[in-house]
Amino acid sequence: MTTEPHSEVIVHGPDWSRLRQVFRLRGWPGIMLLMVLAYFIVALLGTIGWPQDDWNRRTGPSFAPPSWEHWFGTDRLGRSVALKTWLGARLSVIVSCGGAALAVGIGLLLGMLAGWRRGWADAVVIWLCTTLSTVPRLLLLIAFSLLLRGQTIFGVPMHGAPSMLLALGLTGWVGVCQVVRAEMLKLGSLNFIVAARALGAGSFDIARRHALPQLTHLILVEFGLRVAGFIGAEVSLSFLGLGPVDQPSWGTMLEEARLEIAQHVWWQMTAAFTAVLLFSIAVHEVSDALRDALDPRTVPDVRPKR
Amino acid sequence: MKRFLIRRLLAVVPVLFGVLLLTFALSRLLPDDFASRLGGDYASQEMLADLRWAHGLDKPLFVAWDRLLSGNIAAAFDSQFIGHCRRLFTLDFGRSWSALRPVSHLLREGVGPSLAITVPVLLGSAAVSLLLGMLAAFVWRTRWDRWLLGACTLNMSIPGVALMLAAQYFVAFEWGWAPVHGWAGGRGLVLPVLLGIFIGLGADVRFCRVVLLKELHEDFMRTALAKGVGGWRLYAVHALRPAIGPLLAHWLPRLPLLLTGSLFLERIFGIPGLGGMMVDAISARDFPVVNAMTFIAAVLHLFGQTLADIISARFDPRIRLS
Repeated sequence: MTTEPHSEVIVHGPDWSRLRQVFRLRGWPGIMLLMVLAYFIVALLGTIGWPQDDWNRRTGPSFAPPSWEHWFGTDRLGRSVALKTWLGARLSVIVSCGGAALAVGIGLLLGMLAGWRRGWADAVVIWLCTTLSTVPRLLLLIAFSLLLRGQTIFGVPMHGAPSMLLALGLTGWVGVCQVVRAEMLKLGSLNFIVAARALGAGSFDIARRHALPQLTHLILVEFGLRVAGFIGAEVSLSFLGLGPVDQPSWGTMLEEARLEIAQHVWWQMTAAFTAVLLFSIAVHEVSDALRDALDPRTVPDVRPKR
Repeated sequence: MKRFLIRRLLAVVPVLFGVLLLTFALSRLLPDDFASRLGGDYASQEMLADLRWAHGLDKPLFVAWDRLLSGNIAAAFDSQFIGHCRRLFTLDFGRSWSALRPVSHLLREGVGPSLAITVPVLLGSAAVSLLLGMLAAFVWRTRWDRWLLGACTLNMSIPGVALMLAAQYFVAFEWGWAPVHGWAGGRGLVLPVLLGIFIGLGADVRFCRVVLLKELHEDFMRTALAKGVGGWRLYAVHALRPAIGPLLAHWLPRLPLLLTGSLFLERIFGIPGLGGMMVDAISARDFPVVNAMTFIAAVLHLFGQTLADIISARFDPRIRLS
């Protein structure tokens, strides 16, 4: 939350020094940032196959409860739940961050185009945005994932992670596009852009050198929001069976756990639940702190007397 | 007002066209086409050609240009896209590929159990989030506000599917306070409905809080304060009345959730509604069902959005209609 009064037009971009202030190591957002980093490290270790990659292997009896030997117990096939949870971070990070990057990229491109060119480009982009936002997000995601599965795009077979990533990216850009477009409309009439244009700078140059730096904070904030949302979306899609079959996923673990709990097997559910919950809380908190620090559109902090 | 109404209704047309185009594109971009799905693995080429002809898949995609140029306009527009639009508008959603029955029959069977969950969930979450949002606006910038916001973030971070499973395990299975699985009506609905209300709550409370806070900073609130209006009256009457527009604009476009909002709840608690039908359709890659749901949901969304706009324009004097 800001303490200084809300300013009308932010010409010189956000106050970046507030970023360091918000993410002090001792504060709550700082701890959450460390937790997000920890998850990223786990994902990275999982990607290079540490401590081991062969999760699809029997390590003990079926449904062994948690013990020193099997930290989180084993599942129906005697596979280690701890290893599945550890490797699940890989998929969650790749899908949520990759999907968010794709969504922000598409939204940024179309939003800048619409806000800068106006005219028919603007009309087409707005029409695309309204059409896509008319269909509920979950349905659109399901339809896109169904469509993408089994196809090959640019030589990449679409199953599991790539199809989820693409589906999330192709459906999640509408909000980014609207925010960027509004900001571009505002920027287009500001003096330094008008001056650059008068000096003969081309559209591409203006967009890259003058407009893009003014949008950096919005991009960061939108990226954080997308990552936070996509973690849950990945779990939901995997739960519905649209996730990968060749690597562990927290959503798939929950779907397996759905059938296990009738036998009092609670460990797989608890492990996946805790893993998603901690990651999701940390990313939500970090993205909230980012928005508070960088977004000038937060609620103005002037209190009515009462 | 009349001109506004006409303009608002006309604005629906391009979006509706976009939805038709989207559903058409989705159904035509499938990797395995309808004929080969229907014919099975051992269908001969002639049989596939027959099936394509019978279902109009050999027609041109949008317009037959050669017929249009030769002046035969009626024949020129006998295309797949026009057929797609005509079928959707006459509520003929085709046959399900897996259940091999008309999709409209499946929809009619599933809509009852789904509504039994989603109607109380939507009403309940609107009421609870509004109340909590007012409370948060009331205690704004105190310790309680921070706690409430923290609780909202926690609520938003909990993955819904995981919470449903945990609740099913502990509340229903271990403690035996509610039926675990299956469509029992009545008592079996309590736990899913409570879960449905709880799961979306954080974001809605935050939204209501921001909307109310915005109204609380307006000049007319200062006037009301100066006149001596205080306490709950200030929040429940003076701030809520002008906030109705944004609140409706937030809630009415959620009408499609009436059909799709209970997907996971139905899957986990074994309720035979539209959600269960969707999940079956997904695992069988049964596209007509997904397509029909997409179209119906989009139309409901458009209806809600338009209705919200019209109501705000009618009841909020600050909105200029020109």
